[in-house]
Amino acid sequence: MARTKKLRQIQMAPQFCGFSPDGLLKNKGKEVSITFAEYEALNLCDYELMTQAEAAVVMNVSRPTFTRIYESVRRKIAKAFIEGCTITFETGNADIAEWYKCNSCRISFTIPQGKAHECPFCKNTDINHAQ
Amino acid sequence: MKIVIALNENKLDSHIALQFGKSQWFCIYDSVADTNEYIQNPMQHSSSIDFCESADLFIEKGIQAAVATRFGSKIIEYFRSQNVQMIMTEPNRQANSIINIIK
Ligand SMILES: [Zn+2]
Repeated sequence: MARTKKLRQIQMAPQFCGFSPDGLLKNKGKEVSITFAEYEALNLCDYELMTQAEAAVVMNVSRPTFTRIYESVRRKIAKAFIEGCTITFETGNADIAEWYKCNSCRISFTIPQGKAHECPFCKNTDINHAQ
Repeated sequence: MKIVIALNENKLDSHIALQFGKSQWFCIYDSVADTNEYIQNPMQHSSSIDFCESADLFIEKGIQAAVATRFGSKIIEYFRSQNVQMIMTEPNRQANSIINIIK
């Protein structure tokens, strides 16, 4: 019986759509697709340098599930790197929280209903959507 | 405005905690009265589900925003439902640098 897949919360979506290898003609056909959950797993372990146990807690998944997601993204990146594939991001099962950024305060924040569209610290209204 | 800041220690020059629900301490700062109160996190080693139950305390105290380096998924869901603003800063930031801004 099919199991309902639960949403995996990720903190922030990548701010670009993917990568393409330099020096290859576009649309040569080879492409790997990375889910936002996979992107977040790589971010937490290899960029933010969390342990897998810590990252699993942040992503609200079990430790074995985290390891599976993490191994999957590493294999995909290796394939893209070795074979020269384009990498694209897909939303998968991730529920992305809406975050905004203020570059002068170097913070990211959510905007609850009824709150002004401004940085909570400096009140600057020139804020970027972090998705 | 009342704001809760997740901290490693119960002092104003403490660094912001890495994960909201897993921090050792919380500082509740009231910008109108200019007062701060420290609360030890009773659920530091508990699951995020248990932590959300104890987070009701922040709502009862009238918290409008929460500060940490990161928020776990359960607490994001919870704060969203309670209309609490979440603010992520860099981990090397100190509590007093934030309080001075919102003063
Ligand atoms: Zn700002």
